[in-house]
Amino acid sequence: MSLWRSARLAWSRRQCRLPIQQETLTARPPTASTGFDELDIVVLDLETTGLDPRRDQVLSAGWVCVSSGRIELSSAQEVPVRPHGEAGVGQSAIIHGLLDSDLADACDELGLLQILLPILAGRVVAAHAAAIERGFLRAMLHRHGGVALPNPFIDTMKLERMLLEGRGERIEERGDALTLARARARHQLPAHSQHSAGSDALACAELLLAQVENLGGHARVRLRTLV
Amino acid sequence: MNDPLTDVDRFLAQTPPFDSLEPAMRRRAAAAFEVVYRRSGSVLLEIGEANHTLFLIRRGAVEAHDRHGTLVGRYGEGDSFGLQSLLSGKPVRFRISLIEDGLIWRMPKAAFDALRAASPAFDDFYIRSLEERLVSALREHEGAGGAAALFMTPLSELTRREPVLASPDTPIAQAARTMAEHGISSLLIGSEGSVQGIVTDRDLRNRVLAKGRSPDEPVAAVMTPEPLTVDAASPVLAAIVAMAGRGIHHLPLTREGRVVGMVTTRDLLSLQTHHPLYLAAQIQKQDTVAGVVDACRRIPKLFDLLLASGIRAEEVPKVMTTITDTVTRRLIRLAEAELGPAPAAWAWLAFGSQAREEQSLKTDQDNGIVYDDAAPPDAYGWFAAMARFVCDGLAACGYAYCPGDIMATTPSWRQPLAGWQRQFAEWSRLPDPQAVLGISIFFDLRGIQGDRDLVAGIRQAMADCATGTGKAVFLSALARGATEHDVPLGFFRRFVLESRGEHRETLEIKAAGLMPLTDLVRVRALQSGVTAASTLERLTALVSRGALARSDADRLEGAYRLLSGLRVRLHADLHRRGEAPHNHLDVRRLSHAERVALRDAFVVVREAQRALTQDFPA
Repeated sequence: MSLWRSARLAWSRRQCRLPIQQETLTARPPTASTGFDELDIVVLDLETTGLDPRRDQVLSAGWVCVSSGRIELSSAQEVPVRPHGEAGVGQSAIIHGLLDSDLADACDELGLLQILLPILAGRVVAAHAAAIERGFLRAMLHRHGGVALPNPFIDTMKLERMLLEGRGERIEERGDALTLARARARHQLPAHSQHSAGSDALACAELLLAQVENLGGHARVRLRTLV
Repeated sequence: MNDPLTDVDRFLAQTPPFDSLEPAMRRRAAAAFEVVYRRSGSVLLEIGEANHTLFLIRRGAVEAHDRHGTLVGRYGEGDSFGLQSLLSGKPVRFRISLIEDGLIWRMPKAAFDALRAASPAFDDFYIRSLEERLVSALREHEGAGGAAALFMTPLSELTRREPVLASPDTPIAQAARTMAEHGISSLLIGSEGSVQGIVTDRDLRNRVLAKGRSPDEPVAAVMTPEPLTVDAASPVLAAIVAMAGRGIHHLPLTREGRVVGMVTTRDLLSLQTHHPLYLAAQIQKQDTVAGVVDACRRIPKLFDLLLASGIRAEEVPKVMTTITDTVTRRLIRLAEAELGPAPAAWAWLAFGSQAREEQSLKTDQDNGIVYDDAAPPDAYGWFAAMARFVCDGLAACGYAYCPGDIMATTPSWRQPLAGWQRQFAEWSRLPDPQAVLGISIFFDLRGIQGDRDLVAGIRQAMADCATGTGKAVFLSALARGATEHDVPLGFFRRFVLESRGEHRETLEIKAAGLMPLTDLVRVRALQSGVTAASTLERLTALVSRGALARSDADRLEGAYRLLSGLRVRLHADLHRRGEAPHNHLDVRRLSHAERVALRDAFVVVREAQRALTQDFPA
């Protein structure tokens, strides 16, 4: 690890007011030249009430880990999150099928961070349209005294665009060509039941593996190709 | 809360053997997998390497090739591979490579072993021997217990009569007319969904005529309300108990609350007339050909009932052959009554499936006559007349004339013993497999009626064919013929996979399995001087002579029982649907267990073929 990166990690640690994150900031993120088979990845999906990380809330988080190029199904997990403040689930219940009552025994935002941060430590984070997960994580950490995550992020939607453009295909700008379902179908992956954070995370992990094979194969692809 | 492995679990729930796991255990199995994605062409297992992983295909397809590059299998979604090396700890025997991009699930050995230790059902799937797997695939279809008790026949098999119903306000006279029109002794009152009562012949006598009631009154006034009903799936025994216990003679059958038929005491009495012993006795009693023909009309019904009553499917052909033998013997007796006593010692011979005791519904006749060499010259006419009488009689009973004229009516197949001996000696000089195949039917031979010594004489001639000096050419021609059948590799998705990688939608179970097996067992029998005709008897004899290892015989027997049983079940299905019997099994109708067992059976037959090829090199 470069001196610069070590210094930045140490600085983050000093800035951090969230004890659980402080502990995890000792884990070194992988370098850009790390091969895919050596990467520890957590594929994450957040179900939220909307797209604005400052106003909207996380309803549930699902994830699954990939190590040595394999999805470890035993690591798959889904955690429902109780909304903070007075706001209930509201209109998005129609989309996610989550009702307020389902969330009665869920943990709160801080509880989610307590579970999630140790898993994120030292891992690459992957998600479909990763900007959303990244934004919500940043907002949640900010609210609880944490600092920005040092983890590299892989966006499978961006990878899909790259693969399509590499093949010289035009992508309909406003269409849904890059949705998780469409991208999976393009790689002959089986249909999956959508709109559960856990099953979406798994679906995204399978897509990532397929994309890596199409970008040169698990034995050759390096992190820099993916981020 | 959602389970992130819902999709994983859903897939496992329909994938054997995971489908047999308790939900909690299946959840554990799901978590034990790791997922990889590999592109078409990737090699997943290489010959000679050690394997510590169970592979399950979630998406895509793989091919297995042996070290000569020969295709030995192809597997699709839901199939597992790598089992043999995983279970035995021996090096991988086949190269497994993807032929389509795919998602492959891998379970490490430690997790696999933990699951086996935790679930007996799961463990059982892997540790059962090949023979057990072959036979148990058949059993899955069959009812509880193996008892061939007719009493256990489901009531729905007994009656096919639609229920006849009338509304409660129907006048008694109209109800009686309806009963007369349908020729029935009882009438249900109400609707199919709700039976309110029943009126019987006896009610019309006791409650209407004897009481002087008006025939214009509604039938509801004289019906027995809320009659006892039984579920159509209950065994005959349940109906007997119910009827005897209450002194009733009519029992409406229901399925899911709707009335679907009626069983009467007369139906129960007629049940025993379908019993094979009873049918055989009936045939024996007939004094005319017409009577025998008439009794034979019940054979298809017997075929149905045998299966329904819980007899093992693969035993059915033996029972069917017993009936054919009985019919033949009865016709011979009737012919003797007409033609007078035989002019010389003689015997009636059966060839092919009747000799092997492998008959199903609809079967051709293959027969012949042997008589004493010392028969007087004018004996010819008597034997010709006997042959005509019996063959015509069999044809009238539903046993079609042999298209190849292998019948006692053909002079070549109606000969003195010396003629048969000459014939077999001539055959034994046939050098070419095609010619040999044409006559292989004669090497399945059984005496049905008459002089045993004559039959023994022919069998000796048959044994000499193969074991005499200088007869190796004949035997190897026969062996080559037996190994030329193409036995499928197994199944791939909804197709039968042929050895050259081609696909078919149906499995011709006779050509693809039964015939190759029968042929190769026949060669082994001839090679060792075994003259028994049935495949199972031949296997037993081969083992007792030390000509075949017990384990090989067990495997062949298992494969034979499976193939034979599936064929019987196919014929029964076709018969029920009113279709003509054929041997094309629809792959989509096979259960997973049957597919696995059939694949095993093909392996058994192919290995036996390979051994035969080694013993008789071209």
